[in-house]
Amino acid sequence: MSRAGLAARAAQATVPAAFLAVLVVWPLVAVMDRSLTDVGPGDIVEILGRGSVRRVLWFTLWQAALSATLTLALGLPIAHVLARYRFPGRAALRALVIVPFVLPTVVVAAAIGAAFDRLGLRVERSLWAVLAAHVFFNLAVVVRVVGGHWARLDRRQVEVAATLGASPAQAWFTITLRQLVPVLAGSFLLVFLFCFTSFGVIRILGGLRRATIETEIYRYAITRQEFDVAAVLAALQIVVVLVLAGATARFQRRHATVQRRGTAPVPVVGVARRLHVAAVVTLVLAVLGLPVAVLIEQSLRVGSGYGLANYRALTERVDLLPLSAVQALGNSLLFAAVAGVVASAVGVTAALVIARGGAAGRALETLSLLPLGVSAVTLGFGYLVGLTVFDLRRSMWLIPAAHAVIGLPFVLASLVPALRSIDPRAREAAATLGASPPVVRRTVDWPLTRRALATGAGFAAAVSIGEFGATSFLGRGEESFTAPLAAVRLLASPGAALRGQALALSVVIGGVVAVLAAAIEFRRDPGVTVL
Amino acid sequence: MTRLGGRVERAAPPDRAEGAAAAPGAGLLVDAVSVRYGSTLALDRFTLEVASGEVVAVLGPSGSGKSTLLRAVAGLEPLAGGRVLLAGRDLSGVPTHRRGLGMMFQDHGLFNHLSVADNVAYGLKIQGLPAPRRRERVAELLALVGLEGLASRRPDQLSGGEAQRVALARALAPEPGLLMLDEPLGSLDRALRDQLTGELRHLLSELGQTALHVTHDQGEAFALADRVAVVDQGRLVTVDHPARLWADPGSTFVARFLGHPNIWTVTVDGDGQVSRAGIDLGRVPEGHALRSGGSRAVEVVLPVTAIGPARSEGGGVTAIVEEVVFGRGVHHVRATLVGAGSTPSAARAVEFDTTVPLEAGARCPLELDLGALRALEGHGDRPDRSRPLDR
Repeated sequence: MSRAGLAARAAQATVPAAFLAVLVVWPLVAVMDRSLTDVGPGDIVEILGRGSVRRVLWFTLWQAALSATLTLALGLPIAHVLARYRFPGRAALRALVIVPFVLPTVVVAAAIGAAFDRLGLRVERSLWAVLAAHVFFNLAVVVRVVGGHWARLDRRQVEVAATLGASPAQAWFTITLRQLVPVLAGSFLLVFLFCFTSFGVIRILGGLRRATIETEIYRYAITRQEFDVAAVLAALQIVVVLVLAGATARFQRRHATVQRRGTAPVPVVGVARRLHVAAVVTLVLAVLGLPVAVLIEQSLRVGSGYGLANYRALTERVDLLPLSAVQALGNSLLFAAVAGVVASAVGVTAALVIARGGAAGRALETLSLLPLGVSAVTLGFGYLVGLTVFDLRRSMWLIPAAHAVIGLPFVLASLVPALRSIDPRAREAAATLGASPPVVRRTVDWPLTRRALATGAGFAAAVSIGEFGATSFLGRGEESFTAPLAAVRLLASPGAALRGQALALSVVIGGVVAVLAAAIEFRRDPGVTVL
Repeated sequence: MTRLGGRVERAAPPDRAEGAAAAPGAGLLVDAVSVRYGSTLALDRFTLEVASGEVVAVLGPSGSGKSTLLRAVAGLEPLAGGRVLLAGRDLSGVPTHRRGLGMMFQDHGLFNHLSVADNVAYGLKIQGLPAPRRRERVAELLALVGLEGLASRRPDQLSGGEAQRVALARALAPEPGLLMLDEPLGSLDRALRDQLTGELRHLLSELGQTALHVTHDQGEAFALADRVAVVDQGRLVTVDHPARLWADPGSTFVARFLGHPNIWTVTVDGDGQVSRAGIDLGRVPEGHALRSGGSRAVEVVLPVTAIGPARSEGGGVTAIVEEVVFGRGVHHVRATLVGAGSTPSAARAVEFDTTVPLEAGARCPLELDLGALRALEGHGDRPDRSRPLDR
């Protein structure tokens, strides 16, 4: 490696490192600093000892545990059917299960709320609505992760067990379940983590009584302007999330078993199996399809009939909002475009460093995955506390920058494997044929990775459109108010007219994201999976 | 109870195989079994008997239905017709786990989440054998397959040969009435395969284990089995002792599949005079089956072992050496018989082994043992799907 080459590599690592230092590390350090030095140990103990805070901590924990348990219980039969059986519509069902994961929290919460209303269940302060939204949202995680693993299990091990005298039940418990335990535990921890840091769902569906650490950070910071309490809660959140994420990663590393071969799904034969598969398909359609269907139906509801009045009203500004919903959507799209571009630019430089491996690559990878675990709310609060220089925190461009940070892991998840999968011999062959390094990059690396980059950028943009946690702290005036902020504000207000508009806006946001996701899925390199 | 090699004791027949205490000497009977995959018939009224203590190899090209046979016997595939009897007991409707079988797969199918010892102990645990007795038995079995020190290893820490040995120990642990081996050594390299083949043969005969062994490798089949059954397209083509099968394959398909290079169309006259492509090869001895039936054209096989360079010129048959390939201690010679010039050389090709090095292009007088000549039936409706051997 020449001196110039080393310098180029160092420069390459500097760009993403600086980006992440300013937008991830510094805000988190500021939060920790605020709670440790400004507040002090005595006050921390006092704050955490308060009855109200302890109740919030306890609720955060058990609702996350319960959500994860329910998600697992519901996801397992779905994962099993998708992994083991071949039936018409299987591909469509697989795709449908993934949809909620890409939907913005605001849309999910609005849909679950609408479904509960429609079914005559009390939504307000309803624990069940929160749990339902969490299950709806995270089902994809369980089905994809567990189902993928299940499909890779070697069916013949069960057959060997049978020849050794194990009954089907014995074989299931001693072989199949036993081999699934690590991935079950892993996906439980992952869903637990997501629900532990859930913000939008609780804000919209939890009502006044149901508060989690996340919503309390927001309430103390924004509503009550008590930054000290917010900082202590955010610091606690950071510690818990890092410990949990570390435990999850460790657990999965330790228990990763290499499955040599999978088993092709089998056709559904026999009445019992047909009924089983039909029941599961119905379950998926009911759990995932119903809320979305009700959301759309309710958004079209005008008086006692149906019409597009709620949608037309989105063009007019209501007093509650600093601008019309359509203008907010315009902001969202602009931010999404910028976030997609920024995440791609940073992602490419970061992916090149990460794909090369080494200590620098690993450090950068860990750093860039941080926003996936640490909640957006903590990040948003960190910006308020930390980015006081030049008053960065008031800049509207901080929003797409924050969105880019949150979208970066998706770009990397798509790009890094694509870069790593390039056979080094292809590059070497190009070099022996006379291609200089830039030419190799243009003629070998770029054609093989551009679709992965498009996928990642699309995901980052989709995440940006729905982002609510960090934006809640940053979106203020006309310039920086986004569609999810508008939807939440409309949802929270009483009155049938505004509720109809809120649902219509949710449908529009969901629609934009769905179109984006469909485009990604359609254009996606089959080898690249982000989730 | 017999002591076997001073290492392992064979207990009384296991009671988990319900009603297995049937007439001694009764092994496996596959009786006109058919298995259907959608519209294709993977097994077509397949019949095969394996005597108690006998090892039968089922040999066939891939897709011939041989693995389906094992799965059908194991109860892993539903039968479209026929029945399977083990020790006189009809297994129809008996689920796999109550059949009292052992099965060993090509890539061993070890339970990755269990240690070597726990893999071997799996069937014993299911049987409810108490832990101390179980540990004893696991130790016996690991000693039997030569893996004493590896009890606590995980399967992914084993070499290919070790993994196969563990799979064998695991299959043998519950003392199955029938051991089924599905290409057990197929994934190993040649040297290891030869070594394990020897070990396996020794072990099976020591234990008096009834076994059904499926493979596409004729070397493995011949080395392990008491009898070899050749399968094609779901049907039993022939079954015989290895040496007899080799010497008299019976059909062109089997002869090709076994790798016989010298499959010729010859003319035999009433006196037993044999000629090929107008070249006189000599006379078959008195009493040979080819003598009866008058003058006719017939397809025959002459094993390579019945051909060799003659010690002296003037024996009658001479060949021009085309190519010599050295392998496994002998020179394999491809040559062309010298004769009527107009016939294409393919119709005059001959292959044989010799320890005498020959040069390409050399003239070589040949000695043919026409007593080894055997007539073959035609392919009938059976397309030839064996490896191409006419180079």
